[in-house]
Amino acid sequence: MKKNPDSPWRQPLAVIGVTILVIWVLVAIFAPLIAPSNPIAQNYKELLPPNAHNWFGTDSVGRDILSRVVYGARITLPLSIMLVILAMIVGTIIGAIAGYFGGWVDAALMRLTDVVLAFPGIILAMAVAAALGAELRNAVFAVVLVAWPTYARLVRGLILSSKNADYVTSSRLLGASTTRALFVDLRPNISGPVFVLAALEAGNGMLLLSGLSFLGLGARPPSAEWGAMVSAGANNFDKWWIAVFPGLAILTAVLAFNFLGDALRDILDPRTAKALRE
Amino acid sequence: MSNAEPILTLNNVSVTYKRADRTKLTAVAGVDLTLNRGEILGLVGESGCGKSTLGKAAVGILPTSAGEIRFNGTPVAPLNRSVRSRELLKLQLIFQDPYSSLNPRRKIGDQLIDGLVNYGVDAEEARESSAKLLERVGLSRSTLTKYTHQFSGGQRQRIAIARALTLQPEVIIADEPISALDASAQAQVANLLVELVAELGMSMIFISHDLSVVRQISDRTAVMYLGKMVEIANTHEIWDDPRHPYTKALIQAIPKPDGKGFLPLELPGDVPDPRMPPSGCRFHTRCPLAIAECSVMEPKMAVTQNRISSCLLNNELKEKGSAHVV
Amino acid sequence: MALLEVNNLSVQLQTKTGFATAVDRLSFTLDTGEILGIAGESGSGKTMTALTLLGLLPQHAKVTGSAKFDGQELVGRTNKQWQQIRGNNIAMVFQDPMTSLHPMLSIKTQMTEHMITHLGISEKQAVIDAEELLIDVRIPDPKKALASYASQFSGGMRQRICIAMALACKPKLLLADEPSTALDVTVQAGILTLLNRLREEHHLSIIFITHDLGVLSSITNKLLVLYAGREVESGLTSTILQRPRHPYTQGLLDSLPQPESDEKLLKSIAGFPPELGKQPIGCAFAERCSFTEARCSGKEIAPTFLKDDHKFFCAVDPYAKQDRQEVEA
Repeated sequence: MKKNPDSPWRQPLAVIGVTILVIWVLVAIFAPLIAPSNPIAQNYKELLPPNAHNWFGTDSVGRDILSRVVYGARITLPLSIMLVILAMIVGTIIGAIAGYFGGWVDAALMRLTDVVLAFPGIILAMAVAAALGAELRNAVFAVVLVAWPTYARLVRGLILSSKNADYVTSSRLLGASTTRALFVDLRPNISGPVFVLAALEAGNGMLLLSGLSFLGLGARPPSAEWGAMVSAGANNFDKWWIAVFPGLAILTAVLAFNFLGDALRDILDPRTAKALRE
Repeated sequence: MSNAEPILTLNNVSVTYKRADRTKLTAVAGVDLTLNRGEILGLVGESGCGKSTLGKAAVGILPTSAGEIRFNGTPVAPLNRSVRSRELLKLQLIFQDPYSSLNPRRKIGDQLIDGLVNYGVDAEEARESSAKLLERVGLSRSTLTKYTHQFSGGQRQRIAIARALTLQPEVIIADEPISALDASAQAQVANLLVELVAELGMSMIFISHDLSVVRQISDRTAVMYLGKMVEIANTHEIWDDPRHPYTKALIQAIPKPDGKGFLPLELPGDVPDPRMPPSGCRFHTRCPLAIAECSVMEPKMAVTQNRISSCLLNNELKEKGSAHVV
Repeated sequence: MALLEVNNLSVQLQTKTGFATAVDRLSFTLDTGEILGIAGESGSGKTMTALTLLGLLPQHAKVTGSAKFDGQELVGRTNKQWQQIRGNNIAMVFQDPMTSLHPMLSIKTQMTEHMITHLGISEKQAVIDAEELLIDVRIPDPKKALASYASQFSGGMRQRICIAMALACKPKLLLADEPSTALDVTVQAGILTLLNRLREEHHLSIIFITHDLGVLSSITNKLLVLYAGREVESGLTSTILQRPRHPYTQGLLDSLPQPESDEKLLKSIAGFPPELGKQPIGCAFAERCSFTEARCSGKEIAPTFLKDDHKFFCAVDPYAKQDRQEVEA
C-alpha cells in the first residue's frame, strides 16, 4: 500500500505515542471489563508475586495490582489532562496580557512568573498541596499553580516577537484594530507552540501529580492512583512488582505524551511539515 | 507639471529613533516632498539615507518627531492602539521583504480579505474580489487556500501587492519592493506595479537603491542623502543633467553594460554616522567640489534655473561656481 | 600555459530523483592577471562552477572532466589535497560579507588565525601582515579595524575585509561570487576599483560571477555566458556586449533598464529556465527564444567559432547577418 505523503503518520514516534495513549484511554473507559477484580477489594492473599491468576501480583493488603493499574488510568489520565488544560488557559491569558500591554503590567506579571519558577516545581507543589490539605483536588490545583508560568513565558515571548512583525503592521494599515491584529494574526502563531508545550507538559504534570500522591499529598488510600501505588511499593522494597507495574504505567503514559508533543510540533509548523514531506 | 494635483504632502518631516543604547538617531531630518496624483515618484539614495524611514513615516508606521504629513488633506495619524481612519485606508505600503509581510501561519485567502472585512464587506464577497485581484497579479484563485511557504519570493510579493490593493488605495508606497527578489523576478514585479498604478489610477512612491530601475519607471526622482533631500526633478532631467554633486556621483557609479571596460567612478568614503551628521552640508565630507563654506553653512532646497537642489554652490553661493558644471 | 584550464567540466548533483546536471561540459581558460566574468541567472550553474574549483561541492556530487590549475589537476582531489589549494592558491569572496565574517570574533582573530595555520608564521608577523593587507584594501586605521568586530563596519568595508582575508595567503586566483550585488552602487564602484587594482598590482587572476552585465562590462576581459548549466556564448567582454550572437545574451542585454527609451516597463525574458536536471537535448534556451526552429531541439548544438576566441552555441544564429553588415560598414 502506498503511503499518503501528506500524512503525519509517517513519523513513527507519533504513531507509537498515539497508539499508547489510545490504549490507555480504552483501558480507562473499559476498566470494569478489563480488570479481573475490584481494585479496592482485598480479595487475595497479601504480597503474592505475579502468577497465573494475579498477573501483576497483589499488594500488601491483598488487592490485585493489575486491576488497580487498570482503574488507575481512570484517575491519573483525566486529571493530568485537566490540569494541563487549566495551566494552559491561565498561562496563556497571563502571557498574552504581559506581552500585549508591556510596560509595568508586563514587568509585574513576569516577576510573578520568576518567583514561581525560582522554586523547584515539586517543592512548591508540595508546599501548596500540604497547606491546602492532602486531597487529590488540591494536588491538581498545586500542580496548575506550578505549571502555568511556562505557558505564560512562551506566549509572552511569541507575542513580543511577532507583535511588530511586518504582517501585523500590514494588517493594521488595512484597518485592523490592535486587538484584531493580535487575535487574528498572532493567534495561529501562538496556538501551535502552546499545544506542543501542553502535550509535552502533560507528561510533566502527570509526574508531578503522581509525585505528590507518592509523597502522600495527593490521592488518598484506598484510591488506585498510580503515584500512590508506587509509594506503597516503597514500603515493601523487596516486593518489586508493587511499584514496578504502576511505575511502568506512568512511564508509558509520560513517554506517549512526549512523543505526541514532538510530533505535534512538527505537524503544526507548516514549514517543518513541508520539510518532512520532502 | 503645472496641472499637478498633490495627493500626499510631507512638510518638514523629521523622524527620530531612540535606539536601544538610548542615543537618538535622526534618520530623516526636515524633508519636504509632494506626491502628485497619478505619478510615480522614485526615491533613491544609499542605504542608511533614510528613504525607507521616510516611506514608513509617510504612511504612519513610524511616528514623526516634527513636521506634518497630509494625505488628501487629512493629517496622517501614526498607527496606535486605535483603528486606522477610513480615509487613511487608501494609503498603503508594500514592504521590502515578502517573507515577513505575510503571515506564514494563515491561509493566504484569510489574509487577503482582512482589509475588506475590516471595512465591513461580507467575507464571501471579499473572497471573490480577492480572487480577482490574485488573478490580476498573475496568480490563480487556488492561491486563496494555500500558505505562503508554497510560493517563491516573486509570487509572495505579488500576493503582498494584491493584499495592499484590496481596499483600492489611491497611494502606494513601495519600500524597496523588488530588492529582496531574484533578478528574474525583479523586472516582472516592477512592471506589475507600474501597470497597476496606471490601470487603477493610483500614485506611487517607489523607494529603491536600484537607480536604473527608478530611471526607467518613475516620472520624477527624489534623491536623499543622510536624512536630507538633496535633489528632486523630472526623471529625465535628473539623469541627463544632475545638479547636486551627490546625484552626479550616484549616476556615475552605475556601471554601464557597453562593453567598453570603463570602471564606474567611486565615491570615496562611507556614509557618515547619522547620529553625528557633518556640520553644514551633510555631503561635504565626500563631495569633490566642497569648499570651506560647505562645512559651515547648511544648504536649503532652493530653485535655480527651474531646478530644485540643496547645494550651496548651486544656490546660496552661486557666484563661487556652479556644482553641476565640471 | 594558462593559469587555469577547464576542459569538459561537468557537475552532477544528487537530488531526490537521481543525479541532475548542474554544470554541463564547460571549457574555458584563464591567464594570469585576467578577469573572467561568468554571467547567468540564478540556477545557471555559475556558483556551482566556482564551488567546483574550490572543492566545496556538496557531498555525493559527481565531477567529471578536467580543471588544471597551474598544471595540477583539481578534479578528483581528496579533502586533504584540497586544503593545499584552497586559500593558498585559490581563494573566494562571497556575496554576503555579513555571513562570511564571524560576528563574535574580532577581525584580528579571524585574519591571523587563518594566516598562522596556513603560512606557519608567528602571531606577531601575522598581525603585521594583516595590517598591511587592510591598508592594501584601503581600510582606514587598520590597527583599530583589527580590534573591531564585523558589525562595526559598513557593508562595503566588510567586503573589503573579506577580500583582505582572501588575499592573506597570496592566492593566484580569486573567485568572486556576486561580491558587489548586495552593496550600494557607490560602494560597488569602490569594490570594483579595488579588485581591478589588485589584478594590476598583484597579477591576480579573478573569476567574477554575477548576473549584472554592467559590472561585468566594467571589470572583465573575457565573458562566459551560462544558461541552465551550459555555455551559450563566450569571448572578449567587449565583443559579447557590443555584438552578441546568442539570443540569450541579447535577451539579457535587452532586459537591462533602457535609459534612452520612453517605455516605462522593464523588459524581461518571458518564461523560466528549465529545472535542474531537466535540460533538454539541444538548445536549453529554445523554449524561451523567439527565433526557435526545428533544428534547435533533438540534437546537440554545435559551437560556432569566430575570431578572437568568440564562440557561441546557436543553430539559428539570427544576428549573423546584422553582424556581417556591421563589419562591412
